[in-house]
Amino acid sequence: MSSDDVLRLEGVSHAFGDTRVLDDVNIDAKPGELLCLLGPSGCGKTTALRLAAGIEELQQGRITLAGQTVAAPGLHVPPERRSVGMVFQDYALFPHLSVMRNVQFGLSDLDAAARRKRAGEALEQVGMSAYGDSFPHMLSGGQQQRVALARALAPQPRVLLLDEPFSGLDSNLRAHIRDETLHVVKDSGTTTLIVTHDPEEAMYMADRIVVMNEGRVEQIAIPDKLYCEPANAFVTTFFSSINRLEGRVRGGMVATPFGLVPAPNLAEGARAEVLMRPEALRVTPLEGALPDGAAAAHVLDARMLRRASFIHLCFGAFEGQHLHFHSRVPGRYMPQTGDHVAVTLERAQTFVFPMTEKGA
Amino acid sequence: MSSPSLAESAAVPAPRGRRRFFNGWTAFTFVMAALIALPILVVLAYVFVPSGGIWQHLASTVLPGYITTSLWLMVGVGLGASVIGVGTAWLVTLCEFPGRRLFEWALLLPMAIPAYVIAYTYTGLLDFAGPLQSLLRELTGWSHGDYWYPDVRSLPGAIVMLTLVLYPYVYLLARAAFLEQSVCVLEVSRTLGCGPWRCFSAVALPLARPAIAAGITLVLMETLNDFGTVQYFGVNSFTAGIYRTWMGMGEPAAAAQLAAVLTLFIAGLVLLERLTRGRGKVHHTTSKYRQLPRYRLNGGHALLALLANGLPVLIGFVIPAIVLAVWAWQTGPRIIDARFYAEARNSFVLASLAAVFAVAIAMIMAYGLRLRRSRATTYATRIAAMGYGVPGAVIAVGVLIPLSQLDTWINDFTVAQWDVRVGLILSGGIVAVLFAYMVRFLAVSFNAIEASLGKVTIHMDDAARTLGHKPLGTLLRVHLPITKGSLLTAAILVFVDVMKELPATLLLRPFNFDTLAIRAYQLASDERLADAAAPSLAIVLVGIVPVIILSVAIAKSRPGSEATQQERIAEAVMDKTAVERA
Repeated sequence: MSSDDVLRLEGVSHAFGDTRVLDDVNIDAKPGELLCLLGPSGCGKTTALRLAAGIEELQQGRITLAGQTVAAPGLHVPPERRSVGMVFQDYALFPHLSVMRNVQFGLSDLDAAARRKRAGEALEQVGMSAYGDSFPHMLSGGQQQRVALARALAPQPRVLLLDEPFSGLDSNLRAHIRDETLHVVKDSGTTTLIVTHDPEEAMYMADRIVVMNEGRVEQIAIPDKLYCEPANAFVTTFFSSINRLEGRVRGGMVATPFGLVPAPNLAEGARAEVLMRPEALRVTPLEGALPDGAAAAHVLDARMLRRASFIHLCFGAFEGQHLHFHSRVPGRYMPQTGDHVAVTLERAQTFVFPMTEKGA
Repeated sequence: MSSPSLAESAAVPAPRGRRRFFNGWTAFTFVMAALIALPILVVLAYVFVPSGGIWQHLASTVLPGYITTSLWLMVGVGLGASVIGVGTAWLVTLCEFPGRRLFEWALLLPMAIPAYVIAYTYTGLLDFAGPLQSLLRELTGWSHGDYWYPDVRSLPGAIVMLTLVLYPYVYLLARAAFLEQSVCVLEVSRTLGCGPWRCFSAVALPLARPAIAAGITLVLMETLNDFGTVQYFGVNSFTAGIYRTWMGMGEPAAAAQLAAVLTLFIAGLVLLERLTRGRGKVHHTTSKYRQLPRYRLNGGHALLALLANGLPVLIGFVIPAIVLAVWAWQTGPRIIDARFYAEARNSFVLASLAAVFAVAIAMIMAYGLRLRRSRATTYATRIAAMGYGVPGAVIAVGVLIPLSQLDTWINDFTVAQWDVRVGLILSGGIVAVLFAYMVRFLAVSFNAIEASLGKVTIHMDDAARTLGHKPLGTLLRVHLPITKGSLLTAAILVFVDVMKELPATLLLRPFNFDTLAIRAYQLASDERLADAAAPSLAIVLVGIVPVIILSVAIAKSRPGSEATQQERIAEAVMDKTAVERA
């Protein structure tokens, strides 16, 4: 954390009744940065966003905006004095106001002419200039989303907060609007916090991703690092389906059908889980003898999923575990059911973590 | 003298934040709820105040009579209203016969007539000196005592009068319930071979039971609230007894004790309704609404249906309206004078003030509840909404006792301070009447407004706040414009209720301050029934406005068209007891 952070949550904890939704959360956003809060539903990400906006009152910790404390125990700067722009999941456009008036809603400090000019610019930014006189109910979902974004950006807030902004759109439109929003937000240079449950969305948009689970921050990192160097089992499994194997650390290694995998930082004899992404399993037809470091398996089924082949593999018994793994192979590769294949493991996409209580 | 802690906090260049633990909105909600609840609590407190001999006397003489009379009234009106209400609702929702669409809204018309007005009208029409008996005597040559003729001014008469104007409550709620269930279950039961009669008794009626029970509860509350009819018919029910004990015997404490017993009685009634409802609403398995095929009635059946729907409208509205119009035509020139206009103006001023206050207070309370919903604020608003179940006579007692005490204190103070006696500025003025109206009718506006605030999502509040507007600015710029139609509806409903209100106005109005309702009551008391027609007709005409509002809501909520906001508001208004949301 540096002192030029635009938005900072320090040690924020929050509870609704007896339910703890945030537990010692620390998040910081740098100027112009696009930060994604990613996690399953109920992980507290939306609460964190609402606390930052001031819609929810802080219970514990501290929130600063551009170096100024806006929330601390006993202190609550209401949302109207925080200069935050927010886009809601349902857009929350005011139904009784035209698009133009919606966008002008946050500009009451300016005189009428300046207000109209600024709102016009904001609509221009999102490509909705032609719709100023329309009313929200006349617009499609994607158009409403753009107006909501323009309305939030028009007052030039210090921070832009987006709560699941694409979840109301169908999947074709979503990719398009997502790309558009990314460019609008980046062009505006506004520091942005996006809440999402969709890892692909987070990977697509974020400069950094904050992975959250059960009210805790699991890892904060750039997308690439999250995928290739996940901090724990939760982060690993959240980004893709996973092949999982239990084992025990012996000589700093865990045994797998593909040979020994190093288990750094794990105690000797500790129970460990080995997580292998589907693309880490390389499948080749088995001809003759099994190559070194490969495991024999037979194919249960093979399917095309988008631009990859998804293969169900059966390895038979291994140290008392019945292993059924999945492999993702780029392009079309469709072995027949029952074919015998050789499978090797790419270590870069293989992760070893101590066994968590839940996993056990 | 400055405290060090203050100086310290001033030195910090603190951001201008503050803890909103107890803000102005919440405070207002609490204060209002407490004020509104005060009269009811005062009355209830009298259960514990010993009043010596009077209460003993009442309990041993008139009280058993009040109880049995009120019970008979409730049984009679409850049965009558449920048979008519449920029957007509079933016919117009699930059968097709000539005039069905007309009856859908016409069945609501009797609501426009206050019970006391219909009582005066039929008494004038059917009494010994009335046109009907006169005609009978003329035709047959009989004279007094030669023939048997039912006495209108009796307990059965009161039951019929109240039934005629109160059945629409059951009709409205039963109809909504039948409409709701129509597609999801009734079609299935038809495909399974249920005939119309089995469909009704085995499926529709059990499913609609909670709604019907709520409707009957409303009818019974209105029955207990009625004062004009029972007073005029000499039927000794509770409200008549309270009035007589207070005004006739001059015993406010004993009146308060009677009122307390009645209030407990009503609380029992509400409890009973909630118990019969069991574990809450019946849940419907689908939300699909579609034009449903109705049973087509032909020939004799159609005629019967026409009769079943036509009679309540005819007897409950058309005949009394015509009679009133004729009488008003005859007596109008004599009655409609400067005094009449003054009374009309009084009615209008009282009703307008009450409507404005009721809507403003309800809006602020509903918004306060929205800003910070806690268990305490929820209970506070619920208590404030309780007044609708309490008869006007009881509320009058509960308002007058604390206000006169307050007046005494104020006068003691001004006399001691400036040797000036200011008089009964609170209990003797318009304040007392308006206060009573708030206690009784706040629930009407509050329920309507809370329902209409549903149009504004919480995210819209949040959006307005993040866009730089304070709670008050948000209320003015977002909530008010979006809900203004519903606010007007709520205001109209309160306005009309106040126009019709009799007992509280009668007991609390300032000296020589008459309204149209009071005038009708006084003229009728002097047996000048034809003269009472002009003010009565004026009240009925105003009373038609909410019927039109409800009719429009009904027209919009026909199966096939989406359930509208109006419908939800109508529902909320009907749900005056607020038990639904408890």
